[in-house]
Amino acid sequence: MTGSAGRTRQPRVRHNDYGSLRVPDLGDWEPRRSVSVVIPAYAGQDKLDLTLASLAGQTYPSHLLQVIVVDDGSRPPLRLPEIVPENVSLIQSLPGKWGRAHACHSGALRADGEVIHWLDADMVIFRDHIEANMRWHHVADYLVVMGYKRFVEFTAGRLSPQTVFDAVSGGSAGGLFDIERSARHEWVEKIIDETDGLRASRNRTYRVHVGATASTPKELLLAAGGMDNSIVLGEDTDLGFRLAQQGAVFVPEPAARSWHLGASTVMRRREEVARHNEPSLSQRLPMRRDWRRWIGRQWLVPFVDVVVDARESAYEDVRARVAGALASTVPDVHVTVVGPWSELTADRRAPLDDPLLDLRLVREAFRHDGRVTYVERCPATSAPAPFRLICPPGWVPTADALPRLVQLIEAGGHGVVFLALPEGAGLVVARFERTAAFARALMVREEADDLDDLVHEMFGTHWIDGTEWALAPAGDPPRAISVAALEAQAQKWKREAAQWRRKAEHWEAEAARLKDKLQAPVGRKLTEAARRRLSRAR
Amino acid sequence: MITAFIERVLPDTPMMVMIAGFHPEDTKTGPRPRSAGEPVDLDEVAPEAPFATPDSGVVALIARSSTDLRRAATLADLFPEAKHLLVAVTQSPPHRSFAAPAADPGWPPPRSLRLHRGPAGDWVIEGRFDRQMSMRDFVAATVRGLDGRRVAAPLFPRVALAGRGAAAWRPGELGTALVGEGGPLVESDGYLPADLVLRSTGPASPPWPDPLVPVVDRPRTDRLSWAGLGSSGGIGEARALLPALSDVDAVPPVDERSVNPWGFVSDPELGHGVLTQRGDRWCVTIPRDDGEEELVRFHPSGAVTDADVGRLRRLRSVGIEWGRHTGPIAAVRVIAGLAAAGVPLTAARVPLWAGALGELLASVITQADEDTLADDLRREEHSVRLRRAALRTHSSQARWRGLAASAGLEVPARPMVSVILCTRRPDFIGSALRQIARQRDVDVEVILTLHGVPAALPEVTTAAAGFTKPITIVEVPPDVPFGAALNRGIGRASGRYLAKWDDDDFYGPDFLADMVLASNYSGAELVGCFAQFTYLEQIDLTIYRRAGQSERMGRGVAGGTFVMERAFVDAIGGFPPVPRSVDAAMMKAVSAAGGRTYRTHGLGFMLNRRASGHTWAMPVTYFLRSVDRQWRGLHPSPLMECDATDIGDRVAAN
Repeated sequence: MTGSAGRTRQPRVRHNDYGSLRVPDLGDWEPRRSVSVVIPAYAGQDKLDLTLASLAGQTYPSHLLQVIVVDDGSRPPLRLPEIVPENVSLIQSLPGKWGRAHACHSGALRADGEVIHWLDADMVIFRDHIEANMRWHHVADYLVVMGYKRFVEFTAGRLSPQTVFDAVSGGSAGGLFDIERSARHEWVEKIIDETDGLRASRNRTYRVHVGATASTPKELLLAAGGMDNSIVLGEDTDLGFRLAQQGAVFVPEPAARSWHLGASTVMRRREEVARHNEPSLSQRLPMRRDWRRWIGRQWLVPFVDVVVDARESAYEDVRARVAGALASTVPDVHVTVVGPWSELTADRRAPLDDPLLDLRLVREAFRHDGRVTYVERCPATSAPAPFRLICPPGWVPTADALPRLVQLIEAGGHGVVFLALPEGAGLVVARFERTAAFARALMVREEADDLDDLVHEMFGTHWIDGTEWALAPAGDPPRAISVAALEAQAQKWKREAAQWRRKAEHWEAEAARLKDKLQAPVGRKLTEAARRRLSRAR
Repeated sequence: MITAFIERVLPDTPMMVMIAGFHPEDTKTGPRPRSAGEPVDLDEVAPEAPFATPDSGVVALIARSSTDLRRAATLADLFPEAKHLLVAVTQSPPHRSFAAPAADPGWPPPRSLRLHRGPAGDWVIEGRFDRQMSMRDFVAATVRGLDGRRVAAPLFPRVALAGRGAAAWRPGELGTALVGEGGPLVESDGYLPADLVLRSTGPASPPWPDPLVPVVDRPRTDRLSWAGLGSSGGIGEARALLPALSDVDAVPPVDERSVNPWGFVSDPELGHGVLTQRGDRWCVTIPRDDGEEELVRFHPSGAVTDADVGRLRRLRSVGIEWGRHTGPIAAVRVIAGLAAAGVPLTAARVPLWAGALGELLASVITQADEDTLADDLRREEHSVRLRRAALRTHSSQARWRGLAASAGLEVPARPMVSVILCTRRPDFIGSALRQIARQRDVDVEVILTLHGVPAALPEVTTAAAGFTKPITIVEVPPDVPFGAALNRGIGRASGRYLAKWDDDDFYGPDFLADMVLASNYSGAELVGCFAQFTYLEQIDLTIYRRAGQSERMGRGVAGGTFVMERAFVDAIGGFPPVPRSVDAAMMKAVSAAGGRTYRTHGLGFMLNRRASGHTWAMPVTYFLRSVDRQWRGLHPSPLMECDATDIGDRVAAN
């Protein structure tokens, strides 16, 4: 039913509100799509045996269910136990690296299913766990579905694989452990509860994409760039963020129940995990503004990408736009300059009479700035950067433009903010785009659809006067903000304040004089009035 | 009953005091002016014999609000003469200034005329004269001052009032004839001062003896409380009265010159209040942390005052708790008054006994709830629907047209609106005429002023032929300045009101009717609305700009919404004959002539800012700067009812 050729019409989900989607009741539908369950494993054969036993007892049709156990270098190596699902294979992580992310990546490369379901090797899943997730993957191609789990104490040998298989396949997996003595995944479920099951969640929904049990269409996973095997912890959060930039909708599925055997590392050593992950995840998660408060650092994934089209523009105009973007008070900005760079050959030319002279100057001007990239064609989205500004010729973003635009687009949850700019009698429009919105629009687009219409339908669009605070006509280079300059400004205001103070004193004195006059004896008032009359009469 | 401030201003000498609008318990327990004898409660006297001139030479009229003052003024023919006259009001809404009496050159020369305003909005007007001065004229001048001294047409028909409390039926109508319950109406010289008599009757009222004029008898409001219905007259009387009580004509009208949408607040800071009953009185309460706070307690008669309304403006809505009640008339009167003022009332249902609300008002009240009113725009829309329903059913004008018709009098036609449609663009005429044709509750003629467009053009002839209302075509050469072209059209208009209509803007079907209502209750010479809704064709966006409060005096209005009385336009010499910026020039001219501009609600109008060819060359960015809400595409207000129109077709096509 998918496959790039015969893709079905995709439903249009607003923000993360998957409530508009209808999924069939469990046991009351006919699955058609295949799934590959990828189990990264390191040691823990006894738990793995139980995980596989529970997979053997699934309601999901076995001809659509592939299970790949990835041994991440266990000593002694892991083996397949007696009770296993029908279509199971045990492979080794690809050589050269190690870690959960790498094992997942290795498993995904071998997966044949249309959907990849990450499952940890210390999970006992209930019999309709896979089915519960998979029904969502039959209604839309951009859903990421997360199962539920209860953490329980695990004593090796207490449960045999046979007991687990019998309980799971018999529909009594709930009796394997005492629910009263289990713990829920506290912070994740709290977020889910507070956001109506993520339906009301907006910009940071990806946070809840934690491992253990989660499924993603393979195409979506590939579009997001797959699992990043260069990091060893926190890889699921990073993947969640990149999936979100592909327009993913995150669906928590309470019917996909499981027992998690033993507490997770994050639960046991929370602060150490956070400290360990900060250097690598701060590079990858621009939404974590608290991690990016450093000034002057550069980061792997930018917060905002500014797209500047260099074609048919003078060098000075492009320079002003790029330099203006780089001077933003958002430190993690990136600039993408679009132009026919491959035409700039090294052949001998008349330097001053080169028909491509302005492009050459542009290419040269920012060649050594790490935040500037030159591309031939403007990409459909700036993923994984969550936002981008498309800055038209002649207009330069102000220093405050990007943070205010982010604030505006986030406050309204809009998919795009249009910035109207007058140009003669006509109009030029700059665009501030939410990457996830355009990625999803591209995903659901039918031939006749207009992307902006789709973005409007799913996220909303918003217009502002682009000249009010966001963009200024291209002109002089942006003024540097320095302490010295600010001090000079402060001095100027101080002088003005002194002037105002003198004026205020003058008027205070005037008020006192009038009060005095008012309280003067009647006789004096009469005398003064008479004098005035006389002077008028003259 | 009177405030400390008024107490201080009142003289320390003996005087005659008349009061109006005070609650019975206030007059029993509250402070009284020093040196005054028993005050005369104008709501309790039968308008028969004029009051004797007091020996002290001092007379005071103290009203609870200016609404009560207007009702008292209906009885002005009873008032005595005096040398020292005082008119006081103890409560007034925050947005209103107080009246300065329009002193007449024919008055005896005053020794002093003084105005005092207290901290609570209470005020006193004090006049001292060397000779006896008519309190009637003094009160009349004060009431005209409340109105901005506009020359206002008297209510149709001419009515004589008889019986205690009859003034509630003609509030603010100076010059209403007063007569005894047993007549006679005709004066000694044979002059008949009224064409209809309204009697506020008690159980012992005699039959009306005068066959020359029809009489309308209405039971006194105190007889219509459940207590009254259950007591004295007994069951028989109750039976006789009850069937009539479900008729809207059984309810004294709202004084729309005083109780009206003026001062509506479109972004209220308080939440939802409750209209409920305490003892024999209706009141509005709001929940507080420690119980509830009573914001307003209405007069037992159910009469709503401008001061009451002023206190409710900050509420988002008022839910009606029908429950037990004081009597059907008082309840209906409170609700009709609040609705006419645009207070956003809600009710889950309307009980049978409240049938006198009229079907329209009863259905509007149930069409909203607290949830829908949480949105400022939905709330204002609901308020507008309530105002229309109440003002069309319960205003003094509407009530008397109804009573006159029932009495068999010939009711004059409604005042007509002449729409001045001045255009250079023949393509737009058809659409503009269709929007004029669907105007409701108003009589309309069109003066199609063709500014450099030949009348023989097929676009013109086709459009005019399909138009079912009176239409006059005026050809004006293209070199005539726009303002002068308008004046040529006006020269051919025959309506009492003139409406300047833009050829490419969007108008709701109640646009003109709302403007006529606003002209009537505001008394302003120029009424209109701000272009809150604007369609920006260039970027296919509808914007809403609140731009401050509507229903206020002295705010600018959009040129395509000008509505004025013909007489005023003639008085200021028509539109300034300028080629462009006619609207701005006209507003200046109105102001310079002493006229006032009133901005009513803007939900029935949508400015159409075309991509090109616009006479008003503001860039789109100008409009985007102060936007409060925006919608992609054409998004007229629901009050525009665009479904089956050209606009609706365009909305659907989107």
